[in-house]
Amino acid sequence: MTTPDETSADALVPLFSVRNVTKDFERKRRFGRKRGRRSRPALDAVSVDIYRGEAFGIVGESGSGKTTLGRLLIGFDTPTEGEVHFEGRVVAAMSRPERRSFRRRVQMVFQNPFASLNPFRTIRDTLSDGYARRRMSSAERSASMTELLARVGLNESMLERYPHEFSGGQRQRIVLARALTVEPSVLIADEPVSALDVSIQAQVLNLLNSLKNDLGLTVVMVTHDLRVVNFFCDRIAVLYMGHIVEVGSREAIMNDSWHPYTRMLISAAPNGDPETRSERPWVSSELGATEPPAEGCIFAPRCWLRQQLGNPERCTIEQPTARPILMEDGAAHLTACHFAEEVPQQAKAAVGA
Amino acid sequence: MTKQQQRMPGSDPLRDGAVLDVRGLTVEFPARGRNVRAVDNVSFTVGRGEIIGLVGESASGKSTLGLALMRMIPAPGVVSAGTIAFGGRDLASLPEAEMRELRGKALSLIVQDALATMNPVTTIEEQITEVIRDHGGDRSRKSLRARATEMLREVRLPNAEQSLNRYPHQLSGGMQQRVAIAEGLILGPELIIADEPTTALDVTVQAQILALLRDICDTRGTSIIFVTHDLATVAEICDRVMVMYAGRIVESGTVSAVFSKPAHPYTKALLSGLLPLSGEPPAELEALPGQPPRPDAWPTGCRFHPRCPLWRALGEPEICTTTDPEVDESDSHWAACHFADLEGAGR
Repeated sequence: MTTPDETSADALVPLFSVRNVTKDFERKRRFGRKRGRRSRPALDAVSVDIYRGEAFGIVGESGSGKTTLGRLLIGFDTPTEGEVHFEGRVVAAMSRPERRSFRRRVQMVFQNPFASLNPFRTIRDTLSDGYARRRMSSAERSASMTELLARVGLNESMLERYPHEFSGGQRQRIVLARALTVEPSVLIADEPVSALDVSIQAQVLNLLNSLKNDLGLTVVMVTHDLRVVNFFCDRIAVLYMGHIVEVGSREAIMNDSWHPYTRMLISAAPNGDPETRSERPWVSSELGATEPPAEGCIFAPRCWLRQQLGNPERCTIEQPTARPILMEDGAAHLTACHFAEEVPQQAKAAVGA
Repeated sequence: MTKQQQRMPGSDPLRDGAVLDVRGLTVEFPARGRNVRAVDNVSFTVGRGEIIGLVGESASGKSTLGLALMRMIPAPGVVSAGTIAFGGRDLASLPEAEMRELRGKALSLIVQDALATMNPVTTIEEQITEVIRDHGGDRSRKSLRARATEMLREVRLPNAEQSLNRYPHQLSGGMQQRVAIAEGLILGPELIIADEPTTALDVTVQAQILALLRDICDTRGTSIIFVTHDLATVAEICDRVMVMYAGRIVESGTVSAVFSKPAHPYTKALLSGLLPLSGEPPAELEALPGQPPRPDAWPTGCRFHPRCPLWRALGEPEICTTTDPEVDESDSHWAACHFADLEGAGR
């Protein structure tokens, strides 16, 4: 795990600092009138810090806001309220030169490598774009390209080919190579292996891991795949309906979470062991998507912990904010649940029952 | 004729209790003046109330195999050899008119993209009741509606009654998938072919749908062929599993046998690619080199050999490149590998 380097004061300053960010995709006016009432914001007062050199996972189900958070980090969208800071500067308020440098340093990789490459351009054309602003002789450029291709597991003979000549795994390698042409320090990857075959997923995950370690990249991985985050990430944020419900180390989130939703999410995934099929007393009773309540905790209507505690009033009145939990190893851990301290014991009771 | 085909049970095609008995099934697509075999000489049986997982990567032929059982291979593809014994008939040679009667009623198909199978301009009620009407069932609107409501409740669709009046796009993905499952179940088929039915769903919804499918098999004796690339869901609900690679079944056995003692190097690789959900992850993943082959370029001999770690470890024995591995499909656990690691497996 790459923890912030304690010797350098600089490392303790977060690379990305998301402060109280709300993103509202207001419904467009159609035929001159506003449609419906105000929708639930995609992100609601989200705060999170991401540090240099770490692999940070953003997980959640569909509609949780994980992709929106990734897009805000890279500046594809601007927050409705709140600010995203990159190295202390507000992303939305950067000057042109600042923005240009930001765009170079933060690169993005998408889920679908078939849609991410221009079918009419050769791989050489695609990679060349990244070199356009780097003052390099053509010999240097071609040497750099060769090295880059080798790094992502491709070879020079592929440069003159077109995207359709490659498989999904190879295309994702090309997309990674393209992102690396500008020597970024941060990679934001939205479901980078979800579209790939199982045997190819392992290849690309190994590649991402070696890029992170060899180049010291900070990687933000947005995914629904809990197995992938458990393999790749150092720290994880769990989103539910636009709220961050828990942030902590991989170990704490995946093994002993302090939020009832995280527990439910992880237990819902098949554990892959036919002998001990997953026990999930808290998932089976739940019915489909629920509208978020107007007040109180957004997870309350589906919350097994609340039920087990005899439906305390507090959950439906007061919206919990993320608060620190004192961990045995002293690691920072935030959870947004009024009764987080009850989670480990009650979870045991629920499974045992 | 390949070696795999030599071992054919001579006597009874419909073995005791089997709902489906497939022998030597081959599906071909004409391409560039020759025939490409997407599914090549596949044999297996499915028992009553059994969920059998059909696992493979893209281009392995798993979905094509599912479609072949429904006789829904898109033209110009054809089932060019083999028999599909189901309910005392051979589906492979059944006239299309009779096949039509069976589809939906005796065997049904549930696909991954539920929305794509629905008519966007008809309500959920019409989508579901059409299935019954098409098979000459009850025609009174009231009783059709009652049956549809009941079915939707059974698949635990929230607000079943109101949902009947909605259009497909007004439902969430999980709800659409449940409607598709309801359509697949409403005529009480004996066999369901479910092609990645939960892949597009969130894990909490997936958990419910898997539990529902398991429950239907246990209570009604329905059998399911569960086509998927995800071994974790196989471990969750299947009784037996067949692993497909390059148009062939390479390993078959009970889920507990295959997961605890995988015998084929490909199965081993797939299982090691199943990342742990908790606990310390491996520092590096064992990745297979290369990619799955395409149907127009199956390798010779054992089709897995170019990517096989065992083949390389054994010093690239020639037999793997020249000869198809022979298997005894009557074994409860078998693997199509010359050097299969079947110690302790159910011989």
